[in-house]
Amino acid sequence: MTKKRIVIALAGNSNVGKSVIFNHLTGMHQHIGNWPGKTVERAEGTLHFKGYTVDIVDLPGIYSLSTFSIEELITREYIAIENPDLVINVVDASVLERNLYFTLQLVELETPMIVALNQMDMAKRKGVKIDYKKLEKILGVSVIPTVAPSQVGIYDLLQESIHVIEKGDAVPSKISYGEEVEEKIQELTELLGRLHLPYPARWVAIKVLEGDEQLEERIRQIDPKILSTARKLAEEIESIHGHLCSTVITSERYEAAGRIAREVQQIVQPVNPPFRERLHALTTNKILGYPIMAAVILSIFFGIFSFGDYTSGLIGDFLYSFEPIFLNIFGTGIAGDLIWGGAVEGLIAGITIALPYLLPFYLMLYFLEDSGYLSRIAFLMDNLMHKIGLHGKAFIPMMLGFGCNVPACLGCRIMETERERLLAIFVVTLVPCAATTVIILGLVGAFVGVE
Amino acid sequence: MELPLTQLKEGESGIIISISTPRRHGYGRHGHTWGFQRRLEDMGVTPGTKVTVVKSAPFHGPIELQVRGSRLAIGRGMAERILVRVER
Repeated sequence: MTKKRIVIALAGNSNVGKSVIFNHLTGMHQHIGNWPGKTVERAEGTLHFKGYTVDIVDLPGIYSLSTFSIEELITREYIAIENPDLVINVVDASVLERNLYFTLQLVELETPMIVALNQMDMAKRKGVKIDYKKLEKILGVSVIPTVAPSQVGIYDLLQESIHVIEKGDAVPSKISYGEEVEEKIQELTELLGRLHLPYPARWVAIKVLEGDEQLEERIRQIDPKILSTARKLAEEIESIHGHLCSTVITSERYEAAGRIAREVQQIVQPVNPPFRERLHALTTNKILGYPIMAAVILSIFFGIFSFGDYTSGLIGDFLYSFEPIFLNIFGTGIAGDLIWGGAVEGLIAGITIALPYLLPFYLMLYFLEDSGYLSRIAFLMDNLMHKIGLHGKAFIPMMLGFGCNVPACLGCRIMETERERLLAIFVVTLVPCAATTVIILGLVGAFVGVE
Repeated sequence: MELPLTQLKEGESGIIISISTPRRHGYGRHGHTWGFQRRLEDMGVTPGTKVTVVKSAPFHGPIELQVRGSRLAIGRGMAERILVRVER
């Protein structure tokens, strides 16, 4: 068999473990960049498997394929236009209904796909049992249960992907909407079929009924008559249901997702929810939430600064022990002074200020983020953050900013709109970072400290 | 009884009747609602769905909801526009 190149894309909601799967698949062979002209990260990686060179593309985490955000637009353009050989839809088994809502939209895009039913362990802990064979049958695509952090199912996922690509029949069975809506979709699909758009006609029909501006614009350039027909059909749906057409279609799609979820999952006794629930209730408590938050943040800063102070002293002492050797070589003249006092001492200062403070800060922040506590802080701080024109979520990059402004600015990508992203970035750059804080404290000590 | 979501107590549930958002291009044009309504609907907040208020943040902060098996937090301004039917 000759070496062939195939492209697999990972798609799914945010926080479903897509990146973990991506890391396991590609290991160190990754390339992180940006989507052309966009502030959205594009992660790509390569692996070799059974004589294939496989390119893996990690698409941004999104909930829908409407064009509410740039991430959604990027994903659907990528899938529809660049046509990857296969899309692996990563699904959070513990929040099946919402994840299937996205799965159904991929199904509508008529892309070859398989489903990675991830976080099976989490689902089990929440008391959700899923019959993945049944899900396979309903969706018409392969479903592989996985637990990404412990690498369960990753090999199977890859093997099944290759198998499906070789067989070439991964196009899933489509879902149908309620009678009145379905009629209109079909009428519109027929009209759109003649336009030869790069997207599946049925999907375009659904999107145009939902009022997708981007697609409407495209169609207007070719045949504006179709748009007026679409508008008429949408208004008919609106008059029957009494809601916006996009609302009707969204709820019907959600109903379908809910039906599938109820059919394949069985709710049993959760393994150990009370502790997690209690912790959640405590950390977002009306009264106790704030002192807990203050205590956590203060103890983190206290811990970091006392640890940093101690290790910074150690490293400093160690590095300064080279001073006599150094001055022996270069002498105590102007050359020695310049090299030691100018270059080496500057380097030492950099190392002793940045390293001992930054490293533990990031470790702590990683722990906070991973445990989900940062989102609780965002929840508590939302109102206050709104007072300075920011979303509660901006608290997370702001915390990061206390470590270093550069990753904090990068972290602002979690904000959803361009406007919020920019605002957060501006504010973040005003936060004194760890190194700045040390200097500030030093200067304060030097100028206003007691003798 | 029909109430905005913000009037529900913690732990109380209701059925969503409607989400009222101003439209961008005047009334009657289909689909052109504020992006936020789309967003809410994409997260599962659609008419006819059961929604439970899990928690409401102090100082008029956001509200945490449980809807379709997932949890989400939304701003109070948006919650004000979600009309629900409750049994009281």
